[in-house]
Amino acid sequence: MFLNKLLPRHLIHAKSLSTKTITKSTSALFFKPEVQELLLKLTRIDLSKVFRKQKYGQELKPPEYKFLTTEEVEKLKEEAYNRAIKKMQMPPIVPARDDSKLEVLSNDKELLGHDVCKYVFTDITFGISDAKRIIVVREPDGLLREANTNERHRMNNIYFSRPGATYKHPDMFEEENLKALCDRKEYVFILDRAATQYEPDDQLYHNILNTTFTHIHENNGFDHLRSTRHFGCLVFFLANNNIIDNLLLQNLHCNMIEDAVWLIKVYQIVNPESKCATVEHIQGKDTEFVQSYIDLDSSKKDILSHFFPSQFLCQYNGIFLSCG
Amino acid sequence: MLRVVGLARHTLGKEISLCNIPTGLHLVKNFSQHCSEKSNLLLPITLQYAQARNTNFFNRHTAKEIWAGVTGVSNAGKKRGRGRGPGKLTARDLNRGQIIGIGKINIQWPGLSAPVIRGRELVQQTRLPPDPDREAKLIALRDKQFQGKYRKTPPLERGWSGGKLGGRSLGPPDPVGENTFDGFDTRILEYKAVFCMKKNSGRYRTVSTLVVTGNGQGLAGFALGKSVEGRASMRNAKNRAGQKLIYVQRYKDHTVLHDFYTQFGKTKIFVEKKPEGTGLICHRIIQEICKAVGIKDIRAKVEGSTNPQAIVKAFFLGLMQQKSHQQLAEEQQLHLVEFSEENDNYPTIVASPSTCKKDSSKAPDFTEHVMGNRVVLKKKKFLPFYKQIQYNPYWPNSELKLEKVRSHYPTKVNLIAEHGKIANFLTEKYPECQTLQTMPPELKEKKE
Repeated sequence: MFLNKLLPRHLIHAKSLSTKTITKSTSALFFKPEVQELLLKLTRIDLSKVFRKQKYGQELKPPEYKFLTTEEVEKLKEEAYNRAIKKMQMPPIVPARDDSKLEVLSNDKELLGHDVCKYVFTDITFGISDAKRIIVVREPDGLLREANTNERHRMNNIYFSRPGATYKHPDMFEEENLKALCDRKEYVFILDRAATQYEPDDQLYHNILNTTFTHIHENNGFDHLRSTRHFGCLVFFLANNNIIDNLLLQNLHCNMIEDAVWLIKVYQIVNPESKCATVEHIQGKDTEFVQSYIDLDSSKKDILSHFFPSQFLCQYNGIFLSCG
Repeated sequence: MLRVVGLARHTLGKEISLCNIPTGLHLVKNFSQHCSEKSNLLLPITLQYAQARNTNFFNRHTAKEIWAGVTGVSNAGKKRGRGRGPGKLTARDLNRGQIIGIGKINIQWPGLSAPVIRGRELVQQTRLPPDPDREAKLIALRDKQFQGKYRKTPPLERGWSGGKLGGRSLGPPDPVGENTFDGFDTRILEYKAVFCMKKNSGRYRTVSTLVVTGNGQGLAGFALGKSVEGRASMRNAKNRAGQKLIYVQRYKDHTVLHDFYTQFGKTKIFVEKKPEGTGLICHRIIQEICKAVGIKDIRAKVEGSTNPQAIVKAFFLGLMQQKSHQQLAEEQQLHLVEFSEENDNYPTIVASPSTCKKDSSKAPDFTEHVMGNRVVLKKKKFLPFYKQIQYNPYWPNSELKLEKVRSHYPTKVNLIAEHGKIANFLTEKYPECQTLQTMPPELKEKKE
């Protein structure tokens, strides 16, 4: 009962999803400057949402006031915008650590049965990152090996605990609880907590991301993530799994043709083998660019072409107005 | 002894009655019938005298006098405080429940305890079967008068303290014509007797009541009412307060617009704006005013005199002299910008002037400006005496001793939250090593 809590039970649930695993090459694509730029543009920073009132249980203080000139206010707003861009830094997308191929350092058969439990050795030298810290395990049969992800997490948490990260696997990431949270549209909360709790190369982190992003895609919950640091990751996930159609449809629906172009550009970079990858975007010819994607690669051609391009601006005028 | 005398009297009385009524043949007849067994009564008897004392202590004095002997306290005793407090003796009415004509022996007396004629028949004097519960009923009735009447007031209606009227609610002011004061509530702030000397009547007593009334949504008023009677003075004050309402602006309907300083006479009040959920941290009179106005979060410090009337006037003055954001921006010809920590200090313009200055170097500090350049004295907080090394040189040692147990409690709480009991990774293997409360029943029996 006790140890079960330490070992995540829900490893299974993300396996059932047919999502692509992140490889080294996809991770490299994510870090490409042009992709990062496009993803940031797609995030559409809305300062009122970035600087929304957030209550993390801290003691509230009365607001402070200042008398300022128009110039000073503009300057402060610009600073705030730069801070917002920093806040929008996306959690990295890197391949998951493979626990099946742990490096064996030595195999000392003479130590066989020296004890009934494992011995974990952690290098607690100051100033080493959690990811690079040397942690090794001596098995009871004398095998000396690298520690696996779970052991690393526990050791790092014991010696260098981070605020917000718990030693044990939080219950909210169990399959049924996670689903309930998704149904309540608490996407930002899930993703923030996951980013705090786990290293980005943790398989559990990948599973949580996959489950949440799939739920968002299926329920068209893109607006919940816009203007948060997770929107770029979501777009990258969609492009990587060839499921950008729902987001594209929403963009077209809300008259965000620019976003649609950026989205397809990300798609082209992530999927260089796709049919539309060779189509170049010419300045001022957004509709043609989007049309080419719809014709060549879209799996929801009917619905998308129904919206696009000729009837787009006249027939659905009412919808655009309501979408803002 | 008394009994014997009683018997003697009985016999003597009968003899005398016989002698006094010479033509009382039927009586003799009755008597002889009644005492047929004792026929020797008709024989001449020798008279015996015995002393009978018909007066004694209990029938010479009234009940009041006798009780005074028990419960009374001498003047000297009174000075020492005797005859007061919980052990105080009180007089009891022992005649309570007793009715003339009804006694221990249950007899029906026509004309006294029963009607003379019932229907067409003359009621006879008859002896009824005895009532066994009579004595118990009488005692219960007698004891009942000593259970004091305790009227319980609900806690929320009790006011600030004890049986005093301060803080009690008086309800809304009385309607004026067709205008009613819906949603208003009045609270007593001060209730006292005041006196003056008059030519004819001398020391003349009047009751003075200070109240505040308000609807909790920015509309409030206060007034002083006076009358010879308490109730009338409360009513006067309440209705006068209803006629003197003012509107107070609030920040997001929960606190004051800004910090401010206010003074009336020797009463000085420093008021601080506070975030939601703080509550009212201030003098109880200011609390009541805030409730009437609809202010929920505030901190106020009263310096100088705490005279209730002065506090009320000072605080109302302060509320009325607040400046709105727009007013402040217009005065300085600059934007008023809000920085809130919950919003990560994003600059939000709350008010803009019609024309904005280009230079803000001469602009005042906001807090200083609204406080009228007064600075609140913030006293330095000292460590408790047991932590100061000059008083307790062993304090650092005690800290060290506590170091190893300081996380016990949170750990315990965490374990209970996670597993429902205090357990660790060895609990499954060694179930006997746990507290009796969490142990499985079979193990518990064994251990016991």
